[in-house]
Amino acid sequence: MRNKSVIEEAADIRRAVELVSLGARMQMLEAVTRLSRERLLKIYKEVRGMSPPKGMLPFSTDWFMAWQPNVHASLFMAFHSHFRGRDSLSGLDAIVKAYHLYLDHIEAERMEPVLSITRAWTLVRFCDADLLQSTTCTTCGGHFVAHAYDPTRDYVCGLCNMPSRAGKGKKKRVSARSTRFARMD
Amino acid sequence: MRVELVAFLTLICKQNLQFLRIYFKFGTVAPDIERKMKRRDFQTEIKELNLAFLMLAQQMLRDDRETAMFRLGISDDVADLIEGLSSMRLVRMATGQMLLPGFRFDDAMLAGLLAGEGRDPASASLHAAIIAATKASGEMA
Repeated sequence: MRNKSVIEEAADIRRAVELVSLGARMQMLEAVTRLSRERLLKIYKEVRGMSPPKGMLPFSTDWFMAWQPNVHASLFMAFHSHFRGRDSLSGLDAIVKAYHLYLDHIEAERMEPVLSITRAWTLVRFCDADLLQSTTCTTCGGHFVAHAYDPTRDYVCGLCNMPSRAGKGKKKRVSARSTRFARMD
Repeated sequence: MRVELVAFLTLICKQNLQFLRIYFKFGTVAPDIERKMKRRDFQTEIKELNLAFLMLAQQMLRDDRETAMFRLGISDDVADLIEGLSSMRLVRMATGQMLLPGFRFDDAMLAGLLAGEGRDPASASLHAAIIAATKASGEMA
């Protein structure tokens, strides 16, 4: 699957640069662009100034069920569901736009982003593959990420019914400004 | 005939007097004039806000149409309309007695969450954002 057109390749490079500055892993870049691995490595090193992390991507759906990740994932999915149905957007564009909105919210609240772009991409793929679904909370009416085929009738979300120590685990640090605009424009 | 006329006139006078008395008793005349004299018409403020809103909406739409539509809560048609407004029409649209932007959510729960009810402000804001985004996507669909 190599690029035939120079213009398409340029668009791919631009997209790859944006994704890397958002923190995407190599596996994701390889899946969503049509650039060769060598080129992607070069882009990664140029943007981040270091080699990409090795190893496999996280592949468990359970990560999204813990309290904090679930809240963040649900926020991302709420944004994403608005872009998903639009014909003018590709799947990747929808993810990137929703992820920007998510980061905007997190930065405005001075929180640490819990969901990485790679996780967000994985989350959307899990939902498309029917491993996860979005369930409506019976108390607040918001949509939350849950295992597919879980019973939904009496579902109450983690924010309406907060576990006793939720959100208190780590000391809050003021987030180091994300690098997402460092390389753009 | 004459007697009847006199009786009729007295009746009218009596009624009018009564009306006048009521009018003065409840004092609807005097405060009304007073209010009119120092009434503020918020015209400049409304126009300024409308103008700022329309210009911001236009910029947002030109920058990133899909995100702007989500943030503004507008449909494709409205987005097209605002995006294509010339500055002349934009100014004309901003001049009026009514504010163009309105409240999107009238849910008490959401209002409470936005105001920071909940155990801690961070999770309250996340909760509000999730509900708001869910509602916004529902409106659009």
